[in-house]
Amino acid sequence: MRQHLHDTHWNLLWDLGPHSTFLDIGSGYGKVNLHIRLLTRCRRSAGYECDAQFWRNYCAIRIAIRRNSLTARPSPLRCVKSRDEIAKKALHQLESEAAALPGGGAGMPAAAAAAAASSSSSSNAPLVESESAESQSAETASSSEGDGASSTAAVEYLPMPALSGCEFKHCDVTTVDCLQFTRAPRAAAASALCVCSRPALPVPKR
Amino acid sequence: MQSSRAPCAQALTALPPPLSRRADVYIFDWVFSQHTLAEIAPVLQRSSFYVLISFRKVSEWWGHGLIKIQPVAKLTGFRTNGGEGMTAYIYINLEKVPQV
Repeated sequence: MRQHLHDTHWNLLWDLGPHSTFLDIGSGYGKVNLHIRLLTRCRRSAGYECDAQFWRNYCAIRIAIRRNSLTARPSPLRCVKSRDEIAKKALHQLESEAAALPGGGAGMPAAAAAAAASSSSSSNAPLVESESAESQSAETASSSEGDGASSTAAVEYLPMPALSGCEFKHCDVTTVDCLQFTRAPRAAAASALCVCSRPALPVPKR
Repeated sequence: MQSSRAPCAQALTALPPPLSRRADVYIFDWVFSQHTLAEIAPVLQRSSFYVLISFRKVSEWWGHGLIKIQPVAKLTGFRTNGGEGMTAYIYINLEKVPQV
């Protein structure tokens, strides 16, 4: 197997670039996501932050409250949720700084620009607009995307803001069928199952 | 006004769907419990990522059911704030390897 892998031609598809999505499970404050997004200009940089055990406790308490068997408000997710909130605030602040620059949303903060400038040649990769609607359509699209000419004409590309592809989610990845942005094309029809907000509230064991 | 980078972007849109939605996964699982790893492994097994960067050995992932990964490299020298050393392992998804 190793010999086969050694002989395999590894093209740029395996490198991080504007065509790829970076997922961080346990993103914490989101530092890795922000750096990866700026260094590689990847299409998306998504971070998931949640503690599975805490999440289950939280869900169990919520169920108990719904059944009027518990009156106290749940707060077991305070720690990891604060990390997620800090990450989102940092992202929002960086986006605000980028928008305040003369270049508008297409620019990036000075620190971010310095970080990007120190990266490899991949930082010179083309900037591709990745608005949420466009990327979602790319995720949920069927095989009709295969026609390159028609899809190119249909999609309007704009200069990508520096951190537009970053997003942080506070959820439990162990409750999903597959990670978001990683579903196989064949499974595109069942894409509704591949979202992180899938309700998977466990019933408390007795 | 269209950006000068638009031609490259347009060329990128011509990529077929499998290329335009590829994803790599980074998981800082150094502090994850075995219980958490056991629950994440099936999710990763069902996901079609290309590269996985983890701090756990392949034997652990295989033991939890993530059997479609193969280690190709490792990076040493990671050190926590407490001075604890770590090794990052880079895995590839064998389902994505050409001619496999």
